[in-house]
Amino acid sequence: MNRVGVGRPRATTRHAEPIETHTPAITFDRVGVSYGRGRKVTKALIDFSLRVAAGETVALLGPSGSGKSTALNALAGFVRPASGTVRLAGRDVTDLPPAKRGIGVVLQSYALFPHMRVAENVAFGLKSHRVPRAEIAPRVAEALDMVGMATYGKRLPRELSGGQQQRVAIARALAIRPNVLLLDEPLAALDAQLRHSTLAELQRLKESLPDTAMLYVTHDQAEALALADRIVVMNNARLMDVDTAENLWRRPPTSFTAAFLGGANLIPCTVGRVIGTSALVTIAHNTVSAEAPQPSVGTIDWAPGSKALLCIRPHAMRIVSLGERDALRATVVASVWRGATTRMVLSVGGLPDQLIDIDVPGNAQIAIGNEVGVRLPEPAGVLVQAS
Amino acid sequence: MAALWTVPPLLIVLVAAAYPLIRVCLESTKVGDTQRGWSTWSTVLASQMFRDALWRTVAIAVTSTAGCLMLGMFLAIVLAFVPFPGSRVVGRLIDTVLALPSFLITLAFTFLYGSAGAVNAAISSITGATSPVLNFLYTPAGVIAAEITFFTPFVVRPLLASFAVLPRAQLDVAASLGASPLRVLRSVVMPEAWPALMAGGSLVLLLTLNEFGIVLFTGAKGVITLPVLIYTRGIVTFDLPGAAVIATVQIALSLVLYGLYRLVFARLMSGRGKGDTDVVVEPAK
Repeated sequence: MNRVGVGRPRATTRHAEPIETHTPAITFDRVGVSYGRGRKVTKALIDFSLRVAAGETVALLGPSGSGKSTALNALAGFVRPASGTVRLAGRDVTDLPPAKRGIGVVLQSYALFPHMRVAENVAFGLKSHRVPRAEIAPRVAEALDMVGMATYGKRLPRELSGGQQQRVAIARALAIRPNVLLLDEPLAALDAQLRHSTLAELQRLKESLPDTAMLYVTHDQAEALALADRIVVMNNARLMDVDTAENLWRRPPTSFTAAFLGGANLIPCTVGRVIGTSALVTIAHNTVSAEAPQPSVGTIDWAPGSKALLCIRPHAMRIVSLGERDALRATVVASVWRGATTRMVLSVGGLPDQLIDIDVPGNAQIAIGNEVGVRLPEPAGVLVQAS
Repeated sequence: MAALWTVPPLLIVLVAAAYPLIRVCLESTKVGDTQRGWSTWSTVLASQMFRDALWRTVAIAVTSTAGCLMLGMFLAIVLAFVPFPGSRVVGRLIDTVLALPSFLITLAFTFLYGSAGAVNAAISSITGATSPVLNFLYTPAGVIAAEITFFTPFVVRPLLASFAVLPRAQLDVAASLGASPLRVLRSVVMPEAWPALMAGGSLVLLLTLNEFGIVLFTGAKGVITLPVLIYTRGIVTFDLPGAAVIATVQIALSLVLYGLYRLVFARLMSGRGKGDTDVVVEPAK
């Protein structure tokens, strides 16, 4: 399923397909990238289409090898697409070398030039673009100031922490005042605390660059949810889903997105009566209500009697007393304390070969093997097509 | 107890390396069978033949090293950054040259560029010339050409190793920042490759300074270098104290060069990036 997202939708829109009158800052048009030759060819990106508006931040989210970095590399000019076209502000740049694209790139490894001081690193792009000598120093200072590194200009990269190096890398990319900024897992090499603070800085930076289109590659859903106006979920070199973070979270269109974005429980169910976007479904001999969403393009036939998956987030269910009315009967299989919550893994009666995850606040002391009741929310969850 | 473990290697170094060198130095001060003095030194150092040989040795070594550095840098850059069919084969061929004895290259040069070599034969068949047109092989130029051919891989190999560890991301980012390939090479690649280039160049300078096989095969008739002079004095004329004097000079030259190499290398490594920045950071307006 390929969807082309356009524009900068509001978080409340149901699906991210507003009419865009301006030329997108970034356009991928059925881009394919392959590595190798003959029988050893590997398709790293298949039929990838996406449009990103000026000022919009789009996160490419997916597991390793899903093609997200390849898409970014195709846009930066680091790999040449085997098919399709890449456009920047409407201009076809598919065959243009990276130096002629004017894109700011920030990579996971920082890629600072180790023999140059911080200021020289930041000035590198300006000198390459033949910016007048008198302008270079103020622009370097401006870029370093944006990332809070104004006083570190004379340091060498090796004299900086990982977080500081990444900020310098961002300043270096911003110094050339690009219309498009690409960030390839920029926080992946940082420790948890530093990642948290740098993420906050990226949010602030995003607000200060209202006209810059950003493509942010990550495998961390928290980063995608925090930063992105829209999220592109990728798997097996293909675009799986694209929508606002909220829509993808609340009504994941595919089981992959539901599982990857937030680790939802996908419980097999049978669809009963459907009225509009509400349905009654049967799980473990119980009938519960569920959302039966329709995509903006095409329709899903939630036919009575058809098999589907009920997507329920772990935090949405509650563990209750065994005798409570309408509660599902379950047995505790595992329990992992995670600080603020405890992740309980349960086996539900009537659902053979299916374990469900429930997040319980605090450090829940429920012994493994105990029988408990599980109360579903109302509606219980969102229907997702069984693949 | 741990100190005892240093004794065996120390003994090996003393017996295998230091003693022969000391012996050569001592031999150079011998006057007659039993006496010692500096008369052999003053005689040898004052001779025109020694001075010519010293000058020629240094000139050939420096020219060959410069040639190796230029050719080696070019080859390494092409092999590392300009992918072409067969680049791996070329890389392997370069490795093979490292494994061959130097005189084989010279022999191949004789077959190719010698008076009766293939190139001269081809030129004669085209132009009808009766005497060989290419006649450089037995001159210093021939020695330099052979040394450049043989020793260039000693520059290529460390450079390729240095390029291989250069993060690809740095090149990508430099290109995305608008840098032309030449600027990427000059500003990003080469500063990282200087130590490798220095190491390769220094090694080549040392080897060409002491090269004997190539000079003997190609230029022995007219090109006398210090190693050839040592050979002539020591083996042909049996002037062992005279040969020892020249050998001592050769050892001193090599040690001074090695010391310089270590000094430059150490400074290069410790002082990387310590130079003044040409960008002055001012507060943002």
